Amino acid sequence: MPDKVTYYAVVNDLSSRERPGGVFRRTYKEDGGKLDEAFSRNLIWERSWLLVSAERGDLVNEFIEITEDEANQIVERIRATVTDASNGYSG
Amino acid sequence: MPPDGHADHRDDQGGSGRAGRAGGVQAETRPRQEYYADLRVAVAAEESVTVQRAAAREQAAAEKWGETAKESRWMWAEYQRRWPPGERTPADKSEDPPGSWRGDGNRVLYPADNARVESACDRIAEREEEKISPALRATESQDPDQHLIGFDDRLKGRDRIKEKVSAFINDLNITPDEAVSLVHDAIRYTFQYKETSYTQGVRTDIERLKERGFELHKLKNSWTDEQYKGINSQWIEPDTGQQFEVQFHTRISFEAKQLTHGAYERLRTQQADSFEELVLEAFQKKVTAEVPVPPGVDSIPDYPERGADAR
Repeated sequence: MPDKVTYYAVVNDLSSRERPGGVFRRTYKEDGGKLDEAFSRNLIWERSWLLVSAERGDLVNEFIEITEDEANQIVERIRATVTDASNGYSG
Repeated sequence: MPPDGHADHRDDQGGSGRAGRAGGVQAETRPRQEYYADLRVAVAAEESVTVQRAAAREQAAAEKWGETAKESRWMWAEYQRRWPPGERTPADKSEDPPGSWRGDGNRVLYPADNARVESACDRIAEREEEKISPALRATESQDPDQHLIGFDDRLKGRDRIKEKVSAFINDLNITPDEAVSLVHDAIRYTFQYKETSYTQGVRTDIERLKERGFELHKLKNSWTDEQYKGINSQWIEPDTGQQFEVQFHTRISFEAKQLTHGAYERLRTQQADSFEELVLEAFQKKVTAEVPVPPGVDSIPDYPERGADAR
C-alpha cells in the first residue's frame, strides 16, 4: 500500500485560518511508521515535532486538516515570502 | 411543601403516617415537624448512599489503575531494555560559536538569538514570582479539595524553551521575538482534583482565576483524546501580558501523563524508527485508555471553540 499523506495548516496567535502560519504534512508509511514534516524557512520539508506536541495537549498551534492543493498554495506563499525577504523586499 | 402547617397535601408512595384516599393516593397525616424530620433523614440517607457509591467507584478505579500503573512501569522498563537511552547520538556542538545553543534535535540558536531567549527567561521568572504564583497559591487555598501539584516545576527549563523557540523559527518561518512570544507554557501549573469533584472543581477554578483578573486565552478539553487525557488552558496576566498555562488533572490522569512522558519525549525527537515509534504510541494509548473519565467532563467546552478538522 502506498504511503498516505495528510496535510495541515498551522494557526496560532500570529496567524489565522485565512492566512495560516505554516504548513505540515504527516506521512503514514507502509511499514506502519509516521513522518511529520514542516515546510521550513529553508524552503524544504523538514522533520518537526510540533504536531506530536499538539496531540499531547500543547495549545500553541492549531493544526487544521487541508487538501494537498491548499497545502501547495501555502508552500508557494512561504516560498515567495522567504525569497522576497532574502532579496531585501518587505511587506 | 405543606402550605398550611399540615403535611396532609403531600402525595407520597406509602409508609406510615398516611391515610388512604380515593383513587389509591394517600394523604399525609403526620404533623409538619415530624414530616420534615423524616424527610431530612430520608434525604441524608439517600445522599450518604450516593456518596458511598461514588467513593466505592473511585476506590475500584484506583485499585484498577494501581495494576495498570504497575504493568505500565514494567512495559516501560522492557522498552528501555530494548532501546537503551545511552545508544542515542548526542548533538555535535564542537563547531558552534561561543554563546550559541544546540539542542538534541540538532536545532541551533546563534549567540544573539540565544541571548534574547535568556533575557526573556529572566523576565518570565520575575513575573512568575511577583505576580502569577502568589495568585495561583491563593486560588489553591480557596478549596481544600483541590491542590497544585508539581509546583516546583512551574518554570519550564531553559533548554526546553529554546527547543520550542528554535522549532518555531524554523518550522513556522517567524522571527526570534515572535517565536519567544508564542511560548505560552514557560510558566505552568497543574491543579489536581478527585474524579467525582473534577468537573465542578475545574469550572469553579476557571471562574476564580478570572476573578483574580487573569484572562482565559485558550482551553482544550482532551478527555476524549487517545494520547493524552486532561484539560490544558492558557491564561494572560493583564499587567505584563505574560502568558501561562494551567492544566487540570485527576490524580490518575496526572500519573498517566508522567508515566507516558518518556514515550512522548522520545517521539518528539523524531529519531525513533517506525517499529520503535509504533511501540511508543501503543504504550501511550494503552496507558491513556485506562484513565477513568470524570463524570460530566464533556460539558466543559473548548475555548475558543475548535473546528472538527482541528488538532
